[in-house]
Amino acid sequence: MIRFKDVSFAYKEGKWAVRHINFVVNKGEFVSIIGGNGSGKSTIARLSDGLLLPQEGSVFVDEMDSRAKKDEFLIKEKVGIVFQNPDNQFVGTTVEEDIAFGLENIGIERVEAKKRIQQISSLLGIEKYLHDSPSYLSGGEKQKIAIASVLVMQPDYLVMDEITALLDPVSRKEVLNLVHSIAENKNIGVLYITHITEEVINSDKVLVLHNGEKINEGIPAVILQDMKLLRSAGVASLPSIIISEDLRKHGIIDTSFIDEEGLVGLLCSN
Amino acid sequence: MKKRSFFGQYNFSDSLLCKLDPRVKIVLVFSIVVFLFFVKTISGYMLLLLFSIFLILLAKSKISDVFRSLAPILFLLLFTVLFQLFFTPGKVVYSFLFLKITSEGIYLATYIAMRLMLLSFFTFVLTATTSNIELTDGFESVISPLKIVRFPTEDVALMISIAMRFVPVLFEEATRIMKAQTSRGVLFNRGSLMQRARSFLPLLLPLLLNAFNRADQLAIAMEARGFVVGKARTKYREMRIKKIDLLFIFLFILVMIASIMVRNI
Repeated sequence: MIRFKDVSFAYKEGKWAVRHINFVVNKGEFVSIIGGNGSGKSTIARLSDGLLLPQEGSVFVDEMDSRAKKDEFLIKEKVGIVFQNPDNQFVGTTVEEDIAFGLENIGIERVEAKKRIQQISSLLGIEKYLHDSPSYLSGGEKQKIAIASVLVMQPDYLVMDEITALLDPVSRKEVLNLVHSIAENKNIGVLYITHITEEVINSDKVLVLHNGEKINEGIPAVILQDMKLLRSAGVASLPSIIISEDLRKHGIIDTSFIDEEGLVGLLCSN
Repeated sequence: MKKRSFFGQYNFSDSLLCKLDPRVKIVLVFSIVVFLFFVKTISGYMLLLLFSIFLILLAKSKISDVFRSLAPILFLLLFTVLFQLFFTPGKVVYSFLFLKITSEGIYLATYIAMRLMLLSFFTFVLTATTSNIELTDGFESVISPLKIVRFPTEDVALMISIAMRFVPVLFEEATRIMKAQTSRGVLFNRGSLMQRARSFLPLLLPLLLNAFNRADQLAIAMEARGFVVGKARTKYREMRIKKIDLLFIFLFILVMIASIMVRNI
């Protein structure tokens, strides 16, 4: 598991980017972090695989402390991280070379690397791009390649730092579905960071961040109904919740829905 | 999506030259480029020109693309040719005002023009038939003996590879910034030379800042994927010298000897 134990981190002395953060991501679990700009989301992403080291508290990955120099490399193998802008992550001049980069770093031999690249590209449906330059693909395709480049290293945990922020709604949905299916099929623990409320609906657990502090944690059904909480965190509430609340005030319905289908179904049956 | 080519005109093809080992291509092209400086006759250059055309055809490249590759050195080519043509002392064959064309000038101008064109043609063949990553892998392998003196060959090769990958990205970004600045009233093509140079500041500054930002993010992403400077890495791509490579080595040596021999005929 990835365990944050009372973690605090500051880029500048005295100005905390994150403060007293506690949470756990188990293998096979999908944990989302939601918050507005400057809430500390990306700092948590970087703390989770040892790219940043906590100034207070500890981050453990399968009980290895991220500050232990001897485990530094192993932690990076166990925790894969995908960032917002895929263009800034590509190293190779072709998709295949880019996917191979991580494998070369962790000492995987050619035959095994070829097998893994074949498997991962087939899983993500990117075989046809293997010999293309990543620069000329669409945003969704680029992000799939960034995911493949990390997934091919067979990590136990995936950290996704606002990976859909630059995508159109269709690509966003496609990438999100892909991440959910990977997490389920490969039993990978996912830490999914976003500012888009719709994306956390199917998570096992949601953490709400504001000004570097965790202001709440719970299952989506509870967290997403709390419009005041979301507003204070600087993120939008779900349209289905906003409409449900209005209808509730007018006495038309007596419950709120986080999914549009449920709300539409109830209204139609009435 | 359509592939665009910049200085690396490489396009995937089934040409014979694409199948050659990149190390062999690098060494051969480097050797022939150095060799150009030892050829002393126009007939020797003509032989090399025919050989370069043969290679270009073998690479399945268009002749128009080859001439387009001359564009970056066109100014240098013209300047050198004109300088040699008008300022070489010797037997005057034509004069106009203070300009004098000498027979020695014509000879030298042709000689230098041929040398520059051949240099461009041979490097074109290399870049048209070798992908960037093959080039860097080949380069890394060629300079690998420098490891003995602790030269970081792998890191240098990776640095070159990343720089090559970022060329189209930065090019697109420059175009985007240029459009944004044009929409805000910056005129890149008007005014005196000084004004034009100054108008490029609003392009260069954001481009530079973005490049630093990208470099920073790339470094983080590389570290996250297990990259450690100086740490041994496995090699995904395989390089093997085949019979066809040996055949081309023989052919190059033959052509180089012949172009020297031509002088003595």
